[in-house]
Amino acid sequence: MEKENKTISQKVEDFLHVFKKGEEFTQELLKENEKLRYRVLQLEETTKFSGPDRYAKLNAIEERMRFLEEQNKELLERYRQVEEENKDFAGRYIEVESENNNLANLYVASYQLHSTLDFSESLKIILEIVMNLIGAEAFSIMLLDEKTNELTIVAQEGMEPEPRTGIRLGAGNIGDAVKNGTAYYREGTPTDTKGVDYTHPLVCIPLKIKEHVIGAIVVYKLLIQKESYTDVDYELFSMLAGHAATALFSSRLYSQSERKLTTIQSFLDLLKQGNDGQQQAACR
Amino acid sequence: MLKKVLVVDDSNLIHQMYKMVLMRYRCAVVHAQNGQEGMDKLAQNPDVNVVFVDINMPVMNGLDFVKKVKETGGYDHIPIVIVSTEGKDEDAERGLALGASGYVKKPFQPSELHALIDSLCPANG
Repeated sequence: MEKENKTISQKVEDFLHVFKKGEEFTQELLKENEKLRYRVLQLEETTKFSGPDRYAKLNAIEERMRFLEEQNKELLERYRQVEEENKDFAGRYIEVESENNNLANLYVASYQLHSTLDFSESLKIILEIVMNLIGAEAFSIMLLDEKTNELTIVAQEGMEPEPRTGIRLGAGNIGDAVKNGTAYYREGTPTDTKGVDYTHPLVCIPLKIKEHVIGAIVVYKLLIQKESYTDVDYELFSMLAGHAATALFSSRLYSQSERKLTTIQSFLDLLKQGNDGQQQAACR
Repeated sequence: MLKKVLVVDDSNLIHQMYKMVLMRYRCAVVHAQNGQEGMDKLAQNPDVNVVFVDINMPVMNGLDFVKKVKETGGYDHIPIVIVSTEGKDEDAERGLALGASGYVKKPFQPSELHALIDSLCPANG
């Protein structure tokens, strides 16, 4: 009996042991199951497009990429165009600024030229324009005496020693330019000149009222800082050819008429005085 | 900010030129025909931001003007720019030695004046 009991307890213990092992195994299986589920989820996530619609999805992505690349190209092209436009605007702005400055110079010069009817004042203004706006160091204003056909200096700046005055019409570069009524520009860079050569000026601008030449502006030397002529210099020369001529002509005419008026007035006063004297003598 | 520029030069042509060029650069221009008149204008306009002065002028020339301004005191903060016609560096150097802040040679480009004004009296200065 006792032996039988022992066998039973032994069997129970064995069963319990097996049961415990079974429990542990089940626990392990559950853990493994959990791990596998997690792994499956991970794989599902990574192989999302591995299903039957994989190619469709890839195609959609490629399409999207192509679209974005196209858009990128378009944006780059637009950017390039805007850059070009910017450069164009910057260039245009500089051009407009330069044009503005040129116009300002021309406006000031012509305004000043016609601001007076005094002959010497007109000469002074022309000298200032040629010196300050063009940048000439040695130059002269010559007027043509139509009776003798000779050009004489009426104003000059920076000319030492003074050149002989009186140039015959048609003689040399100056006389020739005045006779033909066309501006003369010496070839080469204007700063090539070391000294002043009165027979070979840098520039000779005939002063013309329509086709009638009344004189010339002759430049012999430019200021040391003036390296070359600018666009506005040619514009100023061209403007001076006409406006300086009319300014000098009208101011000279005005001065002459003023002088004549004074002479006539004096003559009339004398006549009046003489007349009064005769009347007084007759009364006596 | 509107800047006030005093131009001391005996040429009306130059005055008008400065006016045309600087008005477009938002500057108010005050004129004087010589150094003496420049001193008077400076006393009447102590808010002047910069002075451009020619060298050759009657009554008081540009260099004497610079000297007088520096001697007088009270205007030390106002930069003076020498405007030279002859292109002689000595004149400009003498002006700088007397206390001028810069120089420009005629015929000048408007951009040169603008750059000088910008450098000598910046907008936030």
